[in-house]
Amino acid sequence: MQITINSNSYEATQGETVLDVAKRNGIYIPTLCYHAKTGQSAKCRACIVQVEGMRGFQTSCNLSARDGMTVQTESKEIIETQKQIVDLMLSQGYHNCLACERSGSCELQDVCYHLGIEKTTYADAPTGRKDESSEFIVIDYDKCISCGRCVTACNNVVVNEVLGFGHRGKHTTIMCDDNILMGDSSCVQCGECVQICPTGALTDKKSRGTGRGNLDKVDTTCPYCGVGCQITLHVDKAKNKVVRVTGREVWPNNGMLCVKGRYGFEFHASPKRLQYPLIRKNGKHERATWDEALDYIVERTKEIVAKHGPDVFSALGSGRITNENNYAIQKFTRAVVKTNNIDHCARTCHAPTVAGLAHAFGSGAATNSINDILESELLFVIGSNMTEAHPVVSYYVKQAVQKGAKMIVCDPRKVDIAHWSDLHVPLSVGTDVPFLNGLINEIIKNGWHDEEFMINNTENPEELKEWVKEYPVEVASKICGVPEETMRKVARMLGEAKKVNVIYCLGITEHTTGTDNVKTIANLQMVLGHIGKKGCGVNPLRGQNNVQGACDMGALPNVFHNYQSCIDERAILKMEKDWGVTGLSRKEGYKLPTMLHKATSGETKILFCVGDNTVQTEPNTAKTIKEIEALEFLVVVDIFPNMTTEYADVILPDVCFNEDDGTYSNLDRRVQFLHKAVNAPGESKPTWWIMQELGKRMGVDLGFHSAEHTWEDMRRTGTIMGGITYERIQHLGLQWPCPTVTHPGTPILHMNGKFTRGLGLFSHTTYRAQAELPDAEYPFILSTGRRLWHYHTGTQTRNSIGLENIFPEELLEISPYDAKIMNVKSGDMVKATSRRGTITLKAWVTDRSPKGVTWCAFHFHEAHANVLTNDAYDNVTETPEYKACAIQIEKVSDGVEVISRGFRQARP
Amino acid sequence: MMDLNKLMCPIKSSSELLALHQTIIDSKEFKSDKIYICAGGGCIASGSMKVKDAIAAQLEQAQLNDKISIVETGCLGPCALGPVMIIGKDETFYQNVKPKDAQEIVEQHIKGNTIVERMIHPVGEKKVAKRSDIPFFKNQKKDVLRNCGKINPTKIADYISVGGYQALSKVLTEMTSEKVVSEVTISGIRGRGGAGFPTGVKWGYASKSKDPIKYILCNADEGDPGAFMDRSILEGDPHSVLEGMIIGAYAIGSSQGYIYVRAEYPLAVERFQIAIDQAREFGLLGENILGSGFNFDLEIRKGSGAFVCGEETALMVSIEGKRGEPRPRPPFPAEKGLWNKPTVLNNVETFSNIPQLILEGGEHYAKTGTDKSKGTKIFALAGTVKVSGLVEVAVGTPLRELVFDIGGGISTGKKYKAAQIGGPSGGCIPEQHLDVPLDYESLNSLGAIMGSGGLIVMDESSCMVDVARFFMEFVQEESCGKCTPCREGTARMLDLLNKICDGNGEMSDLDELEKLSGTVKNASLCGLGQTAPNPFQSTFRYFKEEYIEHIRDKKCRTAVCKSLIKFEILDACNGCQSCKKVCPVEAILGDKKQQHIINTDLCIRCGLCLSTCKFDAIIKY
Repeated sequence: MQITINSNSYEATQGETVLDVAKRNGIYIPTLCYHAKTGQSAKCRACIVQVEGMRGFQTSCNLSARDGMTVQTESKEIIETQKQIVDLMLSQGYHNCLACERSGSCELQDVCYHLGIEKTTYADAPTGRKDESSEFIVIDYDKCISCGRCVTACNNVVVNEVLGFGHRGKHTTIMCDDNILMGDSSCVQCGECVQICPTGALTDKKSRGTGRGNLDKVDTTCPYCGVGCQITLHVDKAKNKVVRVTGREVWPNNGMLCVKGRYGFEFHASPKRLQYPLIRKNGKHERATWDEALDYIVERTKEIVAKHGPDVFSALGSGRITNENNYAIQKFTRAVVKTNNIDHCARTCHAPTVAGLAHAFGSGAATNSINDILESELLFVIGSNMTEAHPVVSYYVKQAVQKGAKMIVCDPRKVDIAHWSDLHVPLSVGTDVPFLNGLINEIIKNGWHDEEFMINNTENPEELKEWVKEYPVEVASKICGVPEETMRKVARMLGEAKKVNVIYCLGITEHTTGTDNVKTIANLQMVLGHIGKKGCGVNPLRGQNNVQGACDMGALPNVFHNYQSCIDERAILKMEKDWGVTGLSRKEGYKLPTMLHKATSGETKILFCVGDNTVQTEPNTAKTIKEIEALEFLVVVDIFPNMTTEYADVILPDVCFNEDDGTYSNLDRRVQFLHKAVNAPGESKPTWWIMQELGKRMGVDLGFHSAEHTWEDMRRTGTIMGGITYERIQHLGLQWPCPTVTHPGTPILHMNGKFTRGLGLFSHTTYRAQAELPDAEYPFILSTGRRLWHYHTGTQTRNSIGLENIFPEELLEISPYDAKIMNVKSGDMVKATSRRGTITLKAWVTDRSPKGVTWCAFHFHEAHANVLTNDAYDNVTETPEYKACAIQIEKVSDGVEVISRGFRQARP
Repeated sequence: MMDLNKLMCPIKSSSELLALHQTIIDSKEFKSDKIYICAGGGCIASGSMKVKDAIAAQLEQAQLNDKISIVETGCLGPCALGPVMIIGKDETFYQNVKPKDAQEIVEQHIKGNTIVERMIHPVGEKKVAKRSDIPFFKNQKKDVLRNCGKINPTKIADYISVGGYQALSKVLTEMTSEKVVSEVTISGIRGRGGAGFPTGVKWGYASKSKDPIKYILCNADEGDPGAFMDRSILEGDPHSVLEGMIIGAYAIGSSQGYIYVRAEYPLAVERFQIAIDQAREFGLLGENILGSGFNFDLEIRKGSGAFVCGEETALMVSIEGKRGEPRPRPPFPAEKGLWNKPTVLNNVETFSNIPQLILEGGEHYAKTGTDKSKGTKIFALAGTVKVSGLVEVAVGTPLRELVFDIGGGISTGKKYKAAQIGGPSGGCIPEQHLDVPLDYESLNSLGAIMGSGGLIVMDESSCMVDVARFFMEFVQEESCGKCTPCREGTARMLDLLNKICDGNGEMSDLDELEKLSGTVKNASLCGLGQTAPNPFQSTFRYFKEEYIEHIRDKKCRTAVCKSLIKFEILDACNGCQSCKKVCPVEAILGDKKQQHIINTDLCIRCGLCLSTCKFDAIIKY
């Protein structure tokens, strides 16, 4: 259609607003309250225009273009009124740009510039009202124009529901919760409000005075969880430092970030970084040259392998380093040392996902995309504390709920996301198999299953129907502690919804029954026929920034990159040919725990460990230390000294996420780019360079001359990623499978029920209790996980400014019921002891914990959960049972009581 | 009648409703003589319930309680004269009745048939006993308020006895929803909330929507200062509103409704809830109403006193449980209203019009009123009139009739100056336009609006700048703060008006006020802002000289604006020192028996000296 603006005719499409059309054609209309993410609010009124045939003025931000419409945006009357509106807006506070963080990027400044407003006609004295109480965000009320973007963003975009408007008339103001300081409020400091504020009213506290127009902007991928948020680093080149982070308004995060992604960036410039190679000499780590260190590694490796064979060598890649570096490690291990003993930390988290889903569907990754969450009718969340571990995913989930989707949250703990759910089902720890089988039984019993899908798209539907008869609701209910009527209600909700999206995380996998748990979820979704459709699927939330990629790259003992079996002769021959080597190992390698166990029996002698703080992350720390100490030779490549580097014979300094190009694969299989933004400290080198140098010294040119060379080396023999080139993903990622360079990527796997393996396969799963049940001596269950404010073993978050101020030490979460019996208050010191060790830490009495269940994380080496956790493993994948061990608790001393503030998320 | 309730409910068909009606009017209670005692909010406040108890006691003593029944009615109208009552047998109207008067009324009037002269209404020199002879009543056309003052609003049987729910019965048995819409359209009735949008057109839009879920809402968030029309209807005849809503729901195809009432109206809430409960019990609300297969139910939602929640979109947002802020239109509520579903919102008075309109037909309805505005309109007549209260007149009745015939003229003996009509969104009508017909177009042309019916009469002692300032303060305080022009613009206008009233005004302030008026009017998001400058604009239009006096001469001719008042002690002062003693700021100087003087720098213009002086020696100007 055509519309006329200021006597010129313009093409407009259905659904466009007059503002859209004007913007697209370079016609400036002042606008302040409208933002694509927060939508039309017609609130600031600056964008008024006149339309022929319509009474008065119209706001162009919410005025739909209609064919033949005649719009005037520049008449004297319009300009005068716009001027007065902006003048009034200015009158509300004190808008002085001199020292304002936003000067130069301020939309109010732009509008004033355009309209030629120097200052307000109705100046009020500045109130000086500022809220600097929170760690990362400053509210300068004098610069607020009440446009409402932050309020909408907080309530409808990230759905953290903290900001709101209060009071009336000219006293109208934004406020946190019930008008308390931001620092005291339930704010989780995601910073969406800062990003969306058009003026200097909301700014990043840490970036004050660090630069405005002089900063370089580098687009890259967030180095924290598996969501893979796209970010822009604001870099002070002269200082070689990132000074601010903003979210890019593209998928998968659409500009949204969490507190870590936005504010946990200083670690890269920490003086604690490893900068030079170190070799242990006389019990001390001493600085060495790269040549010395590399020669020494080669010498020791050759010597030990020559004597004991290649299988005494084991290597660990990492879910935190790039695809290229993981590929480099696996290729070195396989092509140079000639063993398949390569693994990484997916073993400790989502190995059951890879195994379970590959078994059922033929592909071990999330079936649908993150944005697909918004298409769902029912979100079935099980074993995921997503508001803390995957905050940005939780924003989409909450948005979906606001849009009308129903949500069931199954978790023994009242995790914060349960606050937004229709139903929270607190099943007993470790009873997922009987719970899910009970639901399937009830679904089939009532005919809510998708018979057609089961017949046409699965291999063994009739067997499944028999198997689940073992778990009628009456039986399942007794095992999992969920009332029968609740189970029936859940089954009905699942059965009647047209689109169910199952989202799960480590509450499912980190059990001795991890793989069975995953298989049972796969059973459920195949019974409902919710695979290969929009808004459906089985969607595990991968934990680390590149744990998906580390698997994709073949840092696993059973597959080459792109899941090509390492005992499949055809694949082996293909690699031997491409890599120009012979004699690749024909047997599967050791999984991570086995590598370590075999150290004490002398079968593992060398561990080459990249970016894996094994000592702190494996269960039963005392035992892990014994195993590490039993090694003959330990090489650690990392960015910070940590608990594991203490035991290393050689330490090599690695580069971090913004110091080299590379790629990460996120939890919805999206391969995304990392741009180099700053120089690495000291002599740090990328892992691919280290592997290339080691290979060369051992007689193999691995062909790694840059990150891109390494990627291309992978791509040449890759399958599902064969079509992904650096060029294609410079600005936006691509989702595998993407086999050719013209393939658009695959948002949804197993489309139309056509499974990667052909027909879907049901599995028979039965209840097995957790390995260590509570008893009289150790009466509490300890479950573990991740906190919003920290990541992994804290090397990144504890070396950034501010996160530790918000959450400075680990807390043991105890239910109010148990705390009362033990006379423990929040803030008291308690001693938690398992059969494997003891830690002393503060208690946090919270109804997030149900009776008998306690919880803590492993971020703080001073008191971390893995001293206590049980080295019992999933029978298929050797993933440890982090989610359940038995402990006893003893009160040590009284502390200062912590007054909790109602519903505050992720901390007391 | 309690027995009737038990016997007849629920009513399963139209014929059962008719039968019930017959049973009621045949009953002994219905046929007995009655005393009507006003149980409207105003009269209850002035003690009418104690009067009722006293009368009841007297009747019992006189053993007349079987023959005469007391009806606690809705608002009779002349609130300023309360407690008021009417003796049924001869229509005698008594005003300012006290409990101690009960004996006299029963003994002398009920038993002795002699009117108690001292409590009847004075008109000029004379006193008039019969209600229908009193100008206040005689000059009204009580269509909507037909039951107010005749029935007990808490008894559904009373409502049924006067033909209640017959319109609903007619609609459900004889009319299609299209027919209902067309009847309402033919009637020409326009929304009584203030904007005057044709109700039939509004219903028509919503009825055409295919959405299976639609809502019908009643706006009872009456917030204009001095307005109490809707409260009086809800208190006096709640079933008529309820019936109107059910008919509206049938017309548009809605099965759920809400009535949004201010929490400051506890009596209205209570009586409407009773009406809802009774209607449910009688099968007039809920599933399968009167056996027709039509389902409809409704709930009360209480507002917390934000004026802006009377704006239709803000009202819906508030019902949704959010902060009451308007949202931009389009989309209009008929398309996307409450919870984004097609919604019709009308105010209390509009719904209350509907049952009678349906029973008598649209064409009959259209006979009352003017060409473009049909029916009657209720006003809350307040200010300096002799008889203030609730009045209903045909649309188009001249303002003069309202003020002088019904209201009895100015109570202070001073001259009429202006009437503020339409509350904070409205404007004032000066003396030269007293003959303006009260209809939407005529009022608009004078810069006022019909509004919801607030009408404040002012005599010469009112300062028009102060009036503008008062309403500006009101809208600024009640602005929700969502859009810039209303939030900031009204604040700046108020600043300027304060400046003028404080004697610091400059002539350029008037230009600025006019400019701001234009911006606030043209660029605000909702009706509150769009009409906020009206009181300024209209007072400025008719009383510009007063503004100029305030600025140029630093003078308020009515001596309302404190900063501009001067007190002076004249020669008549004999130095008694009374004024000196009461002055709270020791601004009066002078020895005993010497003429005193006022230090105007210290004077806070409290006026205590003026009221204390027994010798008329102090003047204010």
